[in-house]
Amino acid sequence: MSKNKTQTGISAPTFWEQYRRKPLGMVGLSIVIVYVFVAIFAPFLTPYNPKQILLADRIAAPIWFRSVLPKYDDAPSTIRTTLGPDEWAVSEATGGRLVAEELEGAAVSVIEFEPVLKDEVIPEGEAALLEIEEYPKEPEKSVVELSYVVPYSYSPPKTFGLTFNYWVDASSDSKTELEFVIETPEGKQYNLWGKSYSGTLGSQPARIDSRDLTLKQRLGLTIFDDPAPRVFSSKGDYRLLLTARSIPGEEPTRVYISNAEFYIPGNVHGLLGADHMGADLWTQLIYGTRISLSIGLSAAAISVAVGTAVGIICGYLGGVVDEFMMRVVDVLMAIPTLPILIILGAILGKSVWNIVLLISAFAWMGTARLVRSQTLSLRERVFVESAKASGASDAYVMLVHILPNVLPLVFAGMVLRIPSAILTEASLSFLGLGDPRVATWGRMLHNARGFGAFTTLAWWWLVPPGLAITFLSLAFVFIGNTVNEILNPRYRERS
Amino acid sequence: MGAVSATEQERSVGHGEVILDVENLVKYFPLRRGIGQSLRREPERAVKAVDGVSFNVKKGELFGVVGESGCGKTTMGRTILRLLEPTAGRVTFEDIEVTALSVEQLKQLRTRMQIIFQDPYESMNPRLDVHRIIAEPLRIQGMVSNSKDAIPYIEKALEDVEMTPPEEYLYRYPHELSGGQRQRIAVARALVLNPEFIVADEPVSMLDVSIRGEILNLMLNLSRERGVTFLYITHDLATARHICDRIAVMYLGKMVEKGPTDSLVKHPLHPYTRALIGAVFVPDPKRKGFGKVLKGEVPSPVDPPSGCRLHPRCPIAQDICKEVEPELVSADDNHMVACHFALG
Ligand SMILES: Nc1ncnc2c1ncn2[C@@H]1O[C@H](COP(=O)(O)OP(=O)(O)OP(=O)(O)O)[C@@H](O)[C@H]1O
Ligand SMILES: [Mg+2]
Repeated sequence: MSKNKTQTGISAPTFWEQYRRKPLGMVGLSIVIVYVFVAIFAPFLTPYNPKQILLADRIAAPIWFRSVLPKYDDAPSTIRTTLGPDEWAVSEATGGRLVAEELEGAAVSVIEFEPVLKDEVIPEGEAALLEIEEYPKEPEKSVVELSYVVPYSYSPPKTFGLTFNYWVDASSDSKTELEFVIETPEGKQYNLWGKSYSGTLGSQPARIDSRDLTLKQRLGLTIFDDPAPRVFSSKGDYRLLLTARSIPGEEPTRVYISNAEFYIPGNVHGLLGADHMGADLWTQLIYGTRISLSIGLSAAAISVAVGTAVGIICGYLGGVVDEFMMRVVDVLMAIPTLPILIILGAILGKSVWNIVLLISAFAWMGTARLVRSQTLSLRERVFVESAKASGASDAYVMLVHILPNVLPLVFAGMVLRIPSAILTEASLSFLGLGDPRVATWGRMLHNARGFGAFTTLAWWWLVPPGLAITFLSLAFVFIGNTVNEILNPRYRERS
Repeated sequence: MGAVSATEQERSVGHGEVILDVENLVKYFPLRRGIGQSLRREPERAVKAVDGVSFNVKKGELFGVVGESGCGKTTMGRTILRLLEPTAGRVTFEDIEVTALSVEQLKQLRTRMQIIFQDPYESMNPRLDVHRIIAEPLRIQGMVSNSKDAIPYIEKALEDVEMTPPEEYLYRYPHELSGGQRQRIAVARALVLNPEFIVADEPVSMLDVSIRGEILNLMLNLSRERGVTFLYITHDLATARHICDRIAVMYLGKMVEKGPTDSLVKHPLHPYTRALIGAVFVPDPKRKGFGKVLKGEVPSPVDPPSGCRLHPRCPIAQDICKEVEPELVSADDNHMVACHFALG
């Protein structure tokens, strides 16, 4: 007598009771929980943010390589020091001094030279004639030398650099010289940079970079030589010397030097090394979890919501709408998705939101068909007619009677759709159609391919995002299949 | 079933006042044509489930419609309530023309006309509990704004169907109830809007024989005590005989005979009715034609036989039966029959 055509409504506790017993489902769930945890606590799992670059040398290796691979034994890690008035030591001061000043909230080192009395410089009368005979006479120079000690205990680096801004306030008859020298532990001095000016000077940037051509010429090297390994060839204390020389005028001469940044990019960095821009790969991986999870979840949710709505409306109302939408579904299903996504992605522009919408736009059809066929049978069910006999509208029936009965079917499908959305996003990003502003796993792989991870065999750049995608996708597949097994023992959706 | 005695059928009904009037009701289900058939311009064919049925039901009456499976009883019931759109014909409820109502007006009328379905396992959404199943008509009709307000109505309805104490059943799901209990819930759901008229479509055919009587008694009591009018649809003449005031017999979408229960059961006029009765009751050897099993199968309602639809199977058919369709005519007072030879 009892017909059991109905799937009995399964309550949440019962569902969990059954789910718990499925090992694969539990493995999948645990993996996803770890990912979600990583995504939520990303800022606490890394000291950097994914946009920070120049944290290390390009394609720096993971820092733990030092203790594993002899080649990396004493590979340099990044040295970055900001040199302000408090850091600089005054190692020589003739006719001048170092003053700390604050300008617009930033500390500035000011080298101040005393003015020269005019009548001392230009004598009058008879004396002047005597002086003329002695011309040109080198006027006495005032000198202030700032120094800073950098201990260096690694193998030679590939590059180094110093950047700061400077400007000069002085009377027009003055002359100023600036010079940057690195002194090795052995006492050898490398004069890397120098400038000289007369009178007042507006703000100038100083970009001292070991790869710079003029710097190489200054050291007498060819363009193929690398200054960095020569300068930092041994371990010990290096002295950075910033020297200002001045022939002061009648006004005091003031040389302003903004906070200077001294930088030796490391060859090893962080847990997973650095990319071609010196950005931290571990940070990218962790923040990639956020993006991948959000893209996967939202694309799956949107596509399943659209598919469910279309399926229910078509299945329930039938007629022209149904006929039309099902043809649309046929067409969309016949189109190969990735090429279309590539074209549309290129047209619509690269933003995460666009990618989510595009992925969703080509992922709802399976759900729509499944839901439609289910709706076709549900709408003939007696309880639907029973609701209509009480005056229920179409909308009411669809929401209260059809929707809850298709949800279990759709839910498992949604979980299974997450990995495909994640993979599609990764493919698009890998092909360079991702949002360039956000770090995703696909983008990491794209960069790895485009910027030499393959040629340098930087597997620490390639493997982690690949594994991250694989495990997350696998986890969702495990969960989806388990959910399907429990909720829809008779239906197996294949997407 | 013992509690209901046949003698009760003789009691008086709220005489004369017609609550439901059905005039020449027709419902065809068009058959889907293949593309080839459409191209060859073959005529559109249809299942003629209900093909011109006229009758009326009086206030407070238990009106039975009896017929074999597939003769169009359910279709007729659903079309009367406009759960299906009629192909032709008119249904009038009191002075409202049901077949002419707009969707909005129809929604209002649904508080007065309800239906109980055959299969209590199918007529409830398995994801809803008793409380929500019974509250649904109230909520659809906007009579309560939340489920709490519905409780008194629901408890009353549950008491009406003798499911006490109501609290015990409120939060059960259909699968936690027996078939009989489910059908009571279905009745309670139909009653909760306090309707005047209920179509009961084979409400006991899916139930165990032991509980059929309870449900039928319930209907009878509702009819007697609350004056609810029932259109009782069944393929089982025995149960109809027990509770109905009047009975109509359907064959292949047509009404072949109708009349007061006693008169129809004791003096059946149509050969088909006689065959039905013969199949149910002990044949009376004195009466000719009784108990004769009809030959052959029920023809398809897509191409019903010409003339009298029973003629290929009828033991007393003659040539005229093949050509002329007999009208439903009065035999005596309220007893009507559609047969060329029933009266002669
Ligand atoms: N929605 C429909 N579409 C097409 N044909 C239908 C539809 N509903 C019913 N029919 C057909 O109409 C005829 C009458 O069906 P109906 O369900 O009314 O019979 P019934 O007398 O209630 O039978 P039963 O005693 O088995 O319930 C049948 O031939 C049936 O196949
Ligand atoms: Mg039926």
